[in-house]
Amino acid sequence: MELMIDRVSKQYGSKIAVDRISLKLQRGIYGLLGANGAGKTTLMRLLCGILKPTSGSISLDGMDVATEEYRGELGYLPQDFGYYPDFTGEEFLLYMAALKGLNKAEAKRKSAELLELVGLGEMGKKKVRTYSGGMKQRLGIAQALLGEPRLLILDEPTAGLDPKERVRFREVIARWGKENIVLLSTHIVSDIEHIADTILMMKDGQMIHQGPWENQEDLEAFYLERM
Amino acid sequence: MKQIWTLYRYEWKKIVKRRLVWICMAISAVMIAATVGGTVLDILYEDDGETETMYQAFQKDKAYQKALEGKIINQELLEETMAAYGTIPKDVERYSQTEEYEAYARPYSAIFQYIRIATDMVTKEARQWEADERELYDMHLEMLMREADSCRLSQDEKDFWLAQEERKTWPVEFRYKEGYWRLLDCGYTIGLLAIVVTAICLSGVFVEEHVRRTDQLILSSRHGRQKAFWAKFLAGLTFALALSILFSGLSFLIAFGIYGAEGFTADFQLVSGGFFPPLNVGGAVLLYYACMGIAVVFVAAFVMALSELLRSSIGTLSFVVGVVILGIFVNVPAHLRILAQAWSYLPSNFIANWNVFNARLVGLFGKFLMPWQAVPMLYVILGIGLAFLGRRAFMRYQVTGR
Repeated sequence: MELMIDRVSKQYGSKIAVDRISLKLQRGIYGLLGANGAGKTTLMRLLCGILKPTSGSISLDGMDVATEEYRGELGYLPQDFGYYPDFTGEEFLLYMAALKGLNKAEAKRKSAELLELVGLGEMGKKKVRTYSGGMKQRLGIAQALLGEPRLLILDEPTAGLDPKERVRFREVIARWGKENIVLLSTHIVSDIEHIADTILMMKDGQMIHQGPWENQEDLEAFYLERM
Repeated sequence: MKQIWTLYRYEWKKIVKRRLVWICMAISAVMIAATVGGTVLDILYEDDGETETMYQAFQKDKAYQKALEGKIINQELLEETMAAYGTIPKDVERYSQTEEYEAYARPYSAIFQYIRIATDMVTKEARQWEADERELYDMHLEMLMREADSCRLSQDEKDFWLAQEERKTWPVEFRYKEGYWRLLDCGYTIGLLAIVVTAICLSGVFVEEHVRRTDQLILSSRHGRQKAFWAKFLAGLTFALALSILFSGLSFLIAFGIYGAEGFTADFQLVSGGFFPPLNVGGAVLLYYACMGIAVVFVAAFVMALSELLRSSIGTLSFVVGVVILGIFVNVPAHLRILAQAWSYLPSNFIANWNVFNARLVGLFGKFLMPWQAVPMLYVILGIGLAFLGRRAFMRYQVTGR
């Protein structure tokens, strides 16, 4: 399994949000770090096919980012996760499952399973409008995991989670990363430090660091030094 | 294919779970009840201070009309009618408040009204008319020709309509048909209401996904581009159709409940003096409300496509309401044939019965199509175009900023 990002750029007028990034990601967990405005969210949107690159190409095992097959392998949690306030948590997941092409029985089974996994088993029948910020974020994580995605892209997934929930989240992602590609961005360096196999650092739209993180110096200090 | 129906059900759920939809429905129900049935609550004031409610007046007129049921409007009945109206003193201004009208003429008021409809005579002129069955028919044809000339109809169109006239039964049999008449009379208001409510309820179908930021989840999912779009669009169209059926159904229920459902097979000539093929009143009403339903569904397609192109529900709503208001206040003169014809095909104008049963025809492959045949076809073709335009905008949407 291989995600190929080949000289991908995104330009808005004279501003270059993503500047000729080339990456080859294989199974594992990739932590994306960068200051606000570095281009992390833009890069993730490009990888999800919801933003068209100005130049370059993105493919997963030869499937182009613009294809239905590519999206079929994708799980995405956006930074600003939107939901339907009048849907229950269960309805929301069933709707997302339908969008991802799961059949009715499978959708029902997977939705119940994922609600339990993110600790929302008892809240499934409640309307999303009644959820706390952390609960909504967990629901967002659950929808991203629907359909067994081989490519999981999580933009600020730990925002709004309390320390206990963050630990649970790390465990879920660590399991997922063993067989799939997980790319997550966060401001919380410790989250990445704990679970990412590879660190990616962005600054002004460019990838300034790319490499594994094992037994090196303190990541926070390393990050601050480069920002 | 199964997936699209599952998505379609969720799209319906999204629409009907909005509080705004239920508020609109409740207000509409009250407005329909007031439009169709509200007049019976009015009170008629007379000079001597005596009052009569509209409902009492209607009951009295209904009894008189029932007494005329099945009678052919021939020389004999025309003479009876004009003799009864002849008893009313000539110099009175408000003849309907005279004792003579109440005692002799009122039982024939429905026939008198028919004479006026068939000939376009004003009341004063009609009261002085001398009953003549042949002349009534000639005056009717003269009226049609006057209308044909004012609409700038071609000779072929005139011939088409004259051929339709020849197919009609003459003299006409009188039938009680008040419920259908009321439905024809109220159709324009109900149609306008349906158009505005459709615009309010559907202008957010696509835009709200962008506002709520759920668009990112939809567009990045396997079926989020093709199937999600068609499920949404189809849900919007069927919602508009259901709304139209609901509004029509409620109107029928109220009209039949108050005025009765009798008279379905009555001749449409009893109600309209204009150009139309041989139709009965019930058939004409059903045809009219079906045209209204198609117009509302077309508006739904337009609203959804425009909202996705503009990415603004307020902008879309303003545009639709603006066009509706323009349609109400702007009248294109009939002699500007093409412009007047095109203007009458605007959904907010076409929902008026005088535009559905209009004299201006559409020539197609050597045949003439009447407005109620041509316009729904036009709406279907334009609606398909709008669907693909909307899909293009949806597919090309780029999640930026925020």
